[in-house]
Amino acid sequence: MLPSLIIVFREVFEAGLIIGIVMAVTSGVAGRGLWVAGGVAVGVLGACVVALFAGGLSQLFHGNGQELFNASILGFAVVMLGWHNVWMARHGRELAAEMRAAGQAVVEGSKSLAALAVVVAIAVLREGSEVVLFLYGVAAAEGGASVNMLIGGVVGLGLGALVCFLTYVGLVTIPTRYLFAITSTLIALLAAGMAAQAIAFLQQADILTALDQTVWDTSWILRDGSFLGRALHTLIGYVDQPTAMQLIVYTATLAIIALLMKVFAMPHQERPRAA
Amino acid sequence: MFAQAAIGEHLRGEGERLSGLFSYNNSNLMNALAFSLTKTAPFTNSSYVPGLVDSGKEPLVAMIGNAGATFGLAALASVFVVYADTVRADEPVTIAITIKDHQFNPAEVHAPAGKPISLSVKNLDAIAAEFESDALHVEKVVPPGREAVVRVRPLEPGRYTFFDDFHRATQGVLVVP
Repeated sequence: MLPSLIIVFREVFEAGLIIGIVMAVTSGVAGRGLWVAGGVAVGVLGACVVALFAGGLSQLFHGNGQELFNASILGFAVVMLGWHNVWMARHGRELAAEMRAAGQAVVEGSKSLAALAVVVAIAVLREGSEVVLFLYGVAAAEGGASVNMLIGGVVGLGLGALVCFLTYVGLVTIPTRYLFAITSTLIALLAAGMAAQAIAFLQQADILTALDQTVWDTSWILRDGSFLGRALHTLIGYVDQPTAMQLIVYTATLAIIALLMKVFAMPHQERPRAA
Repeated sequence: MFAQAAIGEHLRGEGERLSGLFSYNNSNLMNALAFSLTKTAPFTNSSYVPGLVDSGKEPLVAMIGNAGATFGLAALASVFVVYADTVRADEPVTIAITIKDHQFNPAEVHAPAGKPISLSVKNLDAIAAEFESDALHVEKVVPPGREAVVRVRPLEPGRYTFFDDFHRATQGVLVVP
């Protein structure tokens, strides 16, 4: 039971971190639980579909189908996260004021919820497809051990949900004064990490071969395969041996999101003449 | 600075012209850009905290901006891909591995240092395997009966272990002398 538990937990806890962050970022917005639950449901459905077609997918694009698929959905998640940040830069203060005034959940925020729900769906889909494939293999295996393994898998899922809850509780205690800056930074780092991950898939698929030198090696400090390493990998995009291309894309993503937020933020000063 | 002001004023004029054309305030995009230019340094807002917000502004602006960013990123990405294609690295060394009865065959493979490696993994078992290696930074699901190819970046001498993530006992090592 233990091997199965560990395998499922490893896959699920990354998604758990992301969902916990999204729940914390959207706390106080009306209906966000429904949106996030919807994202999870779509993700699970998508995971089953991807697992079903894993064979066909792996053969597409000269055998690079899986990597291209992963890179594309990660890229799409990066765009969604970027949009959330830009939207918050524009409407965040108004949102916070409304929440304080109304003292209850606010409806305006639902416009950025769709973007975050998509991110949740993508995170669940990516990790979920591997969980589904693994559990299906376990269930198909012969012998009494398979039931035990399935139980281990379910427990692993439960532990992943616990990680999600703990992340949420941890973030939600941040005072509102700092909440906007902290969540914007978290989301931007999440996006940059995903962008670097997408690049790793493209390099693995031999589609992107330029700048593949390993720039540094911090595996002696923290291996990115360890639990803490994986957590940091999800949260800030930590990689112990990044390639030059990964570093460039990581910094470029952060820079672009920061730039867009500056350009679209509503200024304190007199507004431009409304047309 | 003078040029910024001039461009800013021009954009503001464009914004006013546009506002007559669309029912939503697309002109706000121009206005936002104009404003950010005419306030001397482009980024006077030293923090991300937005100021008083006009609740009449449409999220359409952010959507257009994001669409533009997406297009920009896509353009950037395609430049990289094209560049990557023309400046191809060395021809990779190919190594073939099979998975049968939850064992890698061969379990120990060798490759020269400093050259990219192309690992071809064929899954002869009836259930899916995930070929993964932290040291090599690869992970790929290999469905039953299929073959997967993963490209590994040029390596320093050393021993790099790989495993089947769905069946941890299945392990192998890539030795680079």
